Amino acid sequence: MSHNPEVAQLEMLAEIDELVARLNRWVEQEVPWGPTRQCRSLLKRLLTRVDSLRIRLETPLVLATFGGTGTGKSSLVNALVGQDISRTGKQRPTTTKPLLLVHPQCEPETLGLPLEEFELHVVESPLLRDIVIVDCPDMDTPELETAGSNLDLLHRVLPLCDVLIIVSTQQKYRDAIVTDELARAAAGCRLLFVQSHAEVDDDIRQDWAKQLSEHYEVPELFFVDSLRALQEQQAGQRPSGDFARLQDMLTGQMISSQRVQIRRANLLDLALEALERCVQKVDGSWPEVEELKAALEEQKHRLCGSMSDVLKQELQVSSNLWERRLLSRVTEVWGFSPFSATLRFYNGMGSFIASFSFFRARTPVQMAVIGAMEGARRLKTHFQASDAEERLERVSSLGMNDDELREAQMIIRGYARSAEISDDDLMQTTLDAMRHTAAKVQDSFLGEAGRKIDDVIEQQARRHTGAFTRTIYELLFLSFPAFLLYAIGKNFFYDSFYRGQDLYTLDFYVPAGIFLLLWAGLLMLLYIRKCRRGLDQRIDALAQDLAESRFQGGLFPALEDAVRLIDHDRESLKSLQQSAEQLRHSLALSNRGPLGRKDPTDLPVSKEPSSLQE
Amino acid sequence: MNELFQESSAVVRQLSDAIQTLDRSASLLKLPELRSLEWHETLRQKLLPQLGEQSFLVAAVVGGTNIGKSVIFNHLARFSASEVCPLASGTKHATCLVPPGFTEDFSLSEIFSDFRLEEWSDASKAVMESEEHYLFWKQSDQTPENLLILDTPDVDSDAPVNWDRADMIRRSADVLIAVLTQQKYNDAAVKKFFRKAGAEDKAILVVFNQCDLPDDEEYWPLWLEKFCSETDILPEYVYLAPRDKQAAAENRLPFYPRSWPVDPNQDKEQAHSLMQDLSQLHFADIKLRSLRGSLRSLLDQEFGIPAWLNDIRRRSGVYQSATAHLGDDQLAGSDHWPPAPNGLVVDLIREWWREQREGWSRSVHDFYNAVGKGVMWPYRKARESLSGPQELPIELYRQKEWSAILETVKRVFDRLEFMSETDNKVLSERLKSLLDGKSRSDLFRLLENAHTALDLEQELKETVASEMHRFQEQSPNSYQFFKRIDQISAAVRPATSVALFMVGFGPAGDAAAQAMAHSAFGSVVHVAGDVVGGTAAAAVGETAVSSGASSLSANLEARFRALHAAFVARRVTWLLEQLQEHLWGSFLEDLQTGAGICQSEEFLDVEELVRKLQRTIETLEEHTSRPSAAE
Repeated sequence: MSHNPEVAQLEMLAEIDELVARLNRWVEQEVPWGPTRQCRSLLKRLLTRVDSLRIRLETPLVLATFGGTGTGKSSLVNALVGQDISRTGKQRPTTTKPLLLVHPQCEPETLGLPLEEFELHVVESPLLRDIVIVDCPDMDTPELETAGSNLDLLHRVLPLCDVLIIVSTQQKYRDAIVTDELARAAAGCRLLFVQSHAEVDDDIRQDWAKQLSEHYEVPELFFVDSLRALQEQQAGQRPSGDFARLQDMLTGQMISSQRVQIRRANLLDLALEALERCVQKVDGSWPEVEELKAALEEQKHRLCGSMSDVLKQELQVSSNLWERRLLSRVTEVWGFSPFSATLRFYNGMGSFIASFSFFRARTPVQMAVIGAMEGARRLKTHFQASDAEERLERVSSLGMNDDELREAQMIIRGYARSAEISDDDLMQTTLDAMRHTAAKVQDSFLGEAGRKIDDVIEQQARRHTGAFTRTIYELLFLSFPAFLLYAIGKNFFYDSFYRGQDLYTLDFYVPAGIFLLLWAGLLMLLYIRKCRRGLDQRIDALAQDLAESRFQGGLFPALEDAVRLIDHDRESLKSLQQSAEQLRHSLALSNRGPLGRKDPTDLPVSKEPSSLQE
Repeated sequence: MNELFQESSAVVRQLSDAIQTLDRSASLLKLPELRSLEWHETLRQKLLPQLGEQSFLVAAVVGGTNIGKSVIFNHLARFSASEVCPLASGTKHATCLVPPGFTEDFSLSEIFSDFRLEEWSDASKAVMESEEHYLFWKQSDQTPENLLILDTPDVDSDAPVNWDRADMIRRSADVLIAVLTQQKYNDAAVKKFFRKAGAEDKAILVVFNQCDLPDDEEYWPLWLEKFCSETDILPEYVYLAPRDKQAAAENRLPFYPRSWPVDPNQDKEQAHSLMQDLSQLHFADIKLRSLRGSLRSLLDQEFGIPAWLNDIRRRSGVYQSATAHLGDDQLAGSDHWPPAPNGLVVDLIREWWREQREGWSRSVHDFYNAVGKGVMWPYRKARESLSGPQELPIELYRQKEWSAILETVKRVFDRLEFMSETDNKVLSERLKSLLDGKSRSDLFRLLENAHTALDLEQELKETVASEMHRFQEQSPNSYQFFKRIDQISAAVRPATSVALFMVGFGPAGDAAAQAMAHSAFGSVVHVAGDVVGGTAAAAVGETAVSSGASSLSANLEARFRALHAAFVARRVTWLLEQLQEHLWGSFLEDLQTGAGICQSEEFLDVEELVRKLQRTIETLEEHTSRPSAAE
């Protein structure tokens, strides 16, 4: 990075703040899904820890000893401060109340620790200038975690510490209890590993590091003889060997400028571990949600298919309705002309007759076909006027009867239960509610169908209202009256006046009228046949189109919304986890030191000894 | 005494078999694996191989990791029998020293049945990584007669398989050489291990290893006191071993005996040979104690077989309540089943009746029915064209029945959901798989297929035939009466038919019959008349019935209702069969079985044997007071 490292540092801190803010927002959301609900309570607990970190961001770092009984935690603490403060001994357990060692200039009240739990010692030691030390009791003598036991106390105190000094010995370094407790305590802490009893034990650091490396980053292990170090210091000497290194490291790394950095890194590790766990949990339960999604989709598809089938059948049998719609559209386009007027007249008669049958033609599909002709408004008022019962009747007219609704409901309920979405509000539990939804679905389906029908009519009409067709039909239609006019005119002006022949009598006009009607009828029939050509295919195509269209809105709108919400929620959880991982990565690059830590992406598969699981 | 042990040995063997049988027959209850139960392992690893065999002792060196168990074992062996390793969790397999000639009298593979036995060849073998439990054995001249000495893996490291191996050896052992250090004497894992050993009344020798002498001289009594009070153990011998790496490596570590409780006058410098002390133990008494201790832990109310039986009772109780829940008659749903279509029933009855007619009456009725159909044909056609094709009554019935089936299934699901929500851990897995969406939609598909494929008319016909047959058999008088009326009506048929048709009753009668027959349970009297005279002759039938046999009408009505009930029962049975096939599978049966386990013979057998063993132990206790182990 080219720019100022301090600015980069600040940027990093800001990013972590941003991450915490996003976490807060995520936690606040209400999503009706079991697994994320559990994740939320997990993260909520994490955030309280974050809050306590924030309060004491600038206070001295808290270092705590951690180890089995008899590993020399107290001896190490004494050696570190160069004074006999913590009681050491051969009786197990020695320390039962944690000791808090602070510098005279430090105000222990600001540390955010529950001071009543500690035995407070004010110690004048250069080491304590920037840190406080907690000497913890062991975790491997108590067998049960009862209130007030060492274990209980540790579980309350350790999450408040920033750095753990893990002390172990040749005898204890592979102790199962200590290992488990460490996995639980290490989340969100920097770690320092120390093998004590150098005076008598063999150096097992290599084997220890090997064991640890599976779950922890272990840059360095110290091998110390605390007793000698204390004696040396009391004799006014500088301690020898690894102990000096340890002391130097503590004074060098824990300086106040590092506080914020270490705490933020801890926080990030903690957040990342919690997020990893959440993602693991959510992903584990995800297949069931996918199944629910598929089931909802299939339900919708089936619904749409069955509605389309009924629609298609009805559209095919309502041929006279189509005719009327088509003709009225044609006459609209053509305006007023002889042939058009005839068509209009014919259509008007048809409508007049149909107006009786209108009340019979109650199926919603027929209504949709009539649609524009009777006026969309009329259709609408009709829908509105029809009471609920009638609406429900119409539900079954599109192939959705109560039985199917109930079946769908039971099946979806099964899927939703498996997916841990068992909120009754999301699934309509009563048949009535289902019926209403179904009626709504059908209305919107019919609306969609109505628009498509309009399109078909429009296209069909346009195809048969070309100027050429019109000219031909008008001419053909007019040719007969023209001929009649000619014949009558000739008879009147020429034959009767000039030639003195008789005028045509009724014997002529009646058949002429009849032939005129027949002619008009014939032309109309031809034209209507022509108009209808290809209509059946179009109806098929329309039904097909409707069946395949990704029809929005199914029988379980609330559930579908919930699934979408869950999907979105999972995505944002994953993106949180990714940001945390990225941040951790860039932090790891900029911050290499002797302090170890737990690998937050390493999750226990079966047991869950994390500090976040209680 | 020996007879008592022989007797208990026989009982234990029977008990072991009975438990295996019960465990197999109770597999439905998803009991924890027998091998995961401490009492069962004690039974298998200690009591079965050793009860009745009191002529040898098993002594094992046990303790936490990296505190010198192998060093002490090597001291006993007087050579490097088990590799000493500075790293923790070093010893991973057991090593066993066997006295000369032991293998000729006893089978090691029976005594340590869970281990893979291999003759010792090399000290390093005990530290190899392997999933399998090995036990390396070696004949040793140093070992007292009839004493097996073992080195064991640790009880507290992060390799749980080591604990398992140590536990197995602990169960087999009679004497435990407990190796403790000042760091570990109060560790939870160590205490837990020794508490179990204490409960089994093993003889314990305590060795405090890595002592800083003489500084620790004042501490070890404190340590031991703490250890004893935590684990409820009274050690037979106590030794101190100094922290002396050199001596340990050269296998010349001294063991200083200490008396417990502390005797201030004891000579502190005299090192003892552990082996010598071991060989001086009262073998028979110790054996007796450890066997009795194991028997006692077997019958422990909280952790032994009684607890296991209680667990079975509890789980079986869950099955019982589930059976009660699902066995409810309400669930089948005969209360909401639709009645069979009356019109069709009447038709079928009429058809049946026709088949009963003989001779002239039959031909007359057939003739008039044919004529009637012919006359009615145009009317029916006209009605069909006017109001569209009528849906067949049987199809209408099929739809209604499907609703009823759905209702039943819904009730079943509701009940199951309720059960799964009341958190039956025992059944939850199966309930979950019954309730998931996939199995639901599969069920509906299968039911629907079966239901559509079913010939309902045939079902109804069969019901009518069997019910009418019953009528014929049970009330021959009524049957004869109706038959006579039928014949009379045949005689007057020409007159009635013509007359009725003339007054327009033909079409009207048909309509009336339709309307009435389709309204549920229409006038039974009408139907009865219908049966007797045929549709158009309803009036005649009615007159005949009302005038001739009014007392019969009640009987008829009951018959008719019985027919409906029979049909519903038949349909409900069909549905239950379908559910059994497509939904329950073996579930209901399993519930029954699970609920009955507590009363099963296998269960009572185990209970009886437990009581018997209890009595044997009580007699045993009376005969023995706690014997001292050392001479």
